[in-house]
Amino acid sequence: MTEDEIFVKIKEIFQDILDDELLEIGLDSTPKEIDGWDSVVNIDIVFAVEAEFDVKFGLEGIQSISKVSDVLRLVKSGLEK
Amino acid sequence: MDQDLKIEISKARPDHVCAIQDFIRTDWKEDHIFVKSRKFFNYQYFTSDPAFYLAINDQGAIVGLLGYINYGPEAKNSDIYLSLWKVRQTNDPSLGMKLLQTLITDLEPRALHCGGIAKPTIRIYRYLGYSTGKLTTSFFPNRKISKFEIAEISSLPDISAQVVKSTQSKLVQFEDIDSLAAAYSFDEKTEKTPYKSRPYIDWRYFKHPVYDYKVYGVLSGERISSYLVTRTLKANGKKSLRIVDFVGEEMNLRCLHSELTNLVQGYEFIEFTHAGMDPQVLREAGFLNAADCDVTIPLYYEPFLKKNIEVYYFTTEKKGTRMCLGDGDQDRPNIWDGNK
Repeated sequence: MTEDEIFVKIKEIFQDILDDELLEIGLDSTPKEIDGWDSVVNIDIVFAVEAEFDVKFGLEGIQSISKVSDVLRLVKSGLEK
Repeated sequence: MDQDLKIEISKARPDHVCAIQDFIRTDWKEDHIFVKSRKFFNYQYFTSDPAFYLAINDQGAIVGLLGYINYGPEAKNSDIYLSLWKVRQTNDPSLGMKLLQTLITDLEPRALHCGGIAKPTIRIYRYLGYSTGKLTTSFFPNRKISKFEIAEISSLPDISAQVVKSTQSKLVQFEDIDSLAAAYSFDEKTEKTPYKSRPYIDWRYFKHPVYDYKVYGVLSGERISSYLVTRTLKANGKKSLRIVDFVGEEMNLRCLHSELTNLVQGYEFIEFTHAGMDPQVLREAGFLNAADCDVTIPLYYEPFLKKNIEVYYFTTEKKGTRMCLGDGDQDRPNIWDGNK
């Protein structure tokens, strides 16, 4: 799976969980820039991404998330294991 | 420039009081009692060691906080109850978790508990491996009353067949911590957590600056095996009695029906909201589970809200936890009249 394909799926998960199909995100998007990306939504995103890619982030991984690119990085790292 | 690039988490200092009050004012509630009354705020969190962890950004602003109540005699290795937890939206969606982790690393608590959590956050605690649940509201109605003003009760089931008639347990009121400690051994750690130390009970109930709590030992034979704490609540010109805490062995509660019948006189009902109590023991004492009856047993009185309330909690304990509404800051004043 390419990085672009992973990103598209992550974007769809953000849109689905934040209930906004027009939501635009980039790799540099941060929780402060994406309305509603709080701690509860973050866990929902993690659950959904983990299920989609069959990976586990772990607590340390979750706590390292401060941008969309961190989610992508964790997925890639999980897929490589 | 983004001010949240670097966030430091540390224990609060006494000189942080005003900044914490400002944060509560702007990020929580303008007229929160902790904003309106510095005296009460100091009692709750700055009686001894400041009971707060703060997340502070590189501009020196508080962007998150975690307040707690220590049940033990020592700062470390005690049961800790989380009571005030709020983070601003920053670039770190795990900031709340990091506050908690710092507390765990610093205080190495025997167990962590928290009541009044928002339902959506339950999945975070489950992810962390904690146990979660909902408190049960039990009530002991005054059966001499035909029309209830605080509660909504249309009919009451006849439970006389299941009530234990024995009068071998008595309630004995204690006026201060010394008399309670002379009768009840605080060294006895019950199977159920949290363990509540003598300094905690003294601070929480005997020295409360606003509420008038009454502490009753449960006397069975010659021994005080447990104690309960009550507080009178008022609404609609009537009164109810809340059991805010129960500590010790539960079994002798089952022989308290006669004592509770005396205690409930002058009140509409006794409300006891809890987790971990043996339902059979409560039934035998004459309590009804509000969820099993078509009733409204209000929990909020400041302001009064005639509604059943669901109170969710988490605990790091896997079994044997008991939680009451008096734990943490669930039973705390919400309205400040400026005179206390």
